[in-house]
Amino acid sequence: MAVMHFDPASLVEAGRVNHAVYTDPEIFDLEMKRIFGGTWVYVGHDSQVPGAGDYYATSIADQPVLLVRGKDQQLRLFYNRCTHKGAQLVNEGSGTVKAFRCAYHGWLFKDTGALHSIPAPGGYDCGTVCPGDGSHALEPVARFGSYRGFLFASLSPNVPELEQWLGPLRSSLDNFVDRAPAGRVEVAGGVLRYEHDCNWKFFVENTLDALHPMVVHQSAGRPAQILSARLDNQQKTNFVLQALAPFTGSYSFYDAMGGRVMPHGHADLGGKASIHSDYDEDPDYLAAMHAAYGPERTTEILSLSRNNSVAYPSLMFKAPIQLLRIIRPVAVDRTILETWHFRLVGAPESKLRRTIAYSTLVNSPAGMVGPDDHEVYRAMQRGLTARKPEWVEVSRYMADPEAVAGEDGAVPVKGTSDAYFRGQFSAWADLMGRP
Amino acid sequence: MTVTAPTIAKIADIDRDTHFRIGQFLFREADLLDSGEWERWNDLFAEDGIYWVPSSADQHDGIDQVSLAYDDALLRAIRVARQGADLAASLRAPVSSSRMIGNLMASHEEAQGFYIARSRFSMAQYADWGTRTFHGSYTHYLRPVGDDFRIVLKRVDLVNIQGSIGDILTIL
Ligand code: FES
Ligand SMILES: [Fe+2]
Repeated sequence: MAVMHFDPASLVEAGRVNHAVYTDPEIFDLEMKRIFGGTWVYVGHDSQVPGAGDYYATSIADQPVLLVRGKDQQLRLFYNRCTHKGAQLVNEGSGTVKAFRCAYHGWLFKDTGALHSIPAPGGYDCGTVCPGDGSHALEPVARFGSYRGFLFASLSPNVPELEQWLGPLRSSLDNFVDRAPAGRVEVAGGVLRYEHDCNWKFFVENTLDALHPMVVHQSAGRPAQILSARLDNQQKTNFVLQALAPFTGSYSFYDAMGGRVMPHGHADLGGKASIHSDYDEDPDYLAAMHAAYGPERTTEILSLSRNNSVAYPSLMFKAPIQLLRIIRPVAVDRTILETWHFRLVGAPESKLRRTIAYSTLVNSPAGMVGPDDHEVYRAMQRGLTARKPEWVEVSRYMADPEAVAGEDGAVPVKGTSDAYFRGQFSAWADLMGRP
Repeated sequence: MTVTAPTIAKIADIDRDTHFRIGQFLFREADLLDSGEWERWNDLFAEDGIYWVPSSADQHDGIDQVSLAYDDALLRAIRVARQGADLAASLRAPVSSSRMIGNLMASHEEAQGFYIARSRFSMAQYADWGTRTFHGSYTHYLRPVGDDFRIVLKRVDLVNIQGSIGDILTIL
């Protein structure tokens, strides 16, 4: 094995991070093994494979994986690789099968992963290969678990239990699901796959960066403001205008919304208020929520507004608007961001429509928000190739006396704090430092 | 608006003159876009017109399914203002485009009184980080207004839409 010419721990210091973490391909390769290969990573949602034989093929960083629901209703996650000579078993995407037949030599696998049969078995005479004896089954991924339908996997067996790893972030996922009158969400409304020419960490940081919207997103917020001023009150309730307005919110607006920093690099931005908390609510939705939960619990659920939550390193989700984004790193300077949308089961269709309108506006590669974020990531990627200065500044609110961990381990922080990034890099250094 | 692909049965043939005028209209639209004449491009739309880039080939609407763009008049006004102003980080360095349109097939949808024009396009988009090409089809629903047209719907289907898509910094 090549001798590593850096020590990951030396790249992260109090309040600063070495630029190489974003630009060095060798560090990226190690991240794929130790970060994306060393902790829980979001795979998908159980509603993507609702019936027996339904599958969904994706990847965890550079590792192709295959999610399957068996006839026994059990969900399983395998490496998407034939156990014969190694062809990828199915293409990325979803479908329904009775069994998986490898396209190369026709080995046939059951939805349990077991090798069912092979053509011309005589050549092995049940010596090395013998369908039915349990050998040559699809290789399961080391750890696989569900939290309220959100599926996570770890390629490494050495991770805490999923619930323990999520820790206080569970309450943000709970809030995502609790917003459904039926207490259930399901994937709906299509997927956006947005190609980014930058390191994956820019996105996972930026989503918690409350110092950038008023600078980067003026181009969308300002025209919306100007148009809004020309409209009558009726038209002002247009969701698009409500959605764009907070993008030019003030520093104090973002500071006041606050957030939480949690163990393992998790965090959320927003709490009592967020960029989503001033939207008008569909009275039919409120009625459905009241019927399901009663008014008090409804208020409790809906008043929690954490606009961006991160399950480090692979998942960002927006509980108040029912969408999530998956971070799929491809190379040190290339990342694919996937946006998935959810239906609140039991809610009127207006809720899904709002989610879709928001995402089309904000998350699309032809949207009015996403391309401007991407442009600053590009600027970061280019700027950080400079060998001097070596360090990236993440020290804002480092001495905040109120940032003290509560009983659940979550640290309350100001909206514009860099504590989010310090938390991510502390998890980063911890994972990268492991053999 | 729910829009489905026109079925041949509903469609009446059109004469060569109308076909020609539809072609000229599409070329004029393309030229306005490639010249950055955003406001004048927007003027080509009917008041209820929609600019739509679906996120999948078989998509039926932009309301229940996410799109790359699904602009009614309000959103087009914001988009046009954003394209024109100097504020957007992604547009600060000049972005330019050049497109070709061909394979025009036009027909008349009698029930609703508009023309349906199907065409293919190839477009190069240049930004300071590189040139990217987009290919696909346009479907225009055109409402006749005098001897001109207004766009009721412009649907853009990218040929690679099932894959991951990079920045679209101009209007397709
Ligand atoms: S590689 Fe799959 S059957 Fe041979
Ligand atoms: Fe942003």
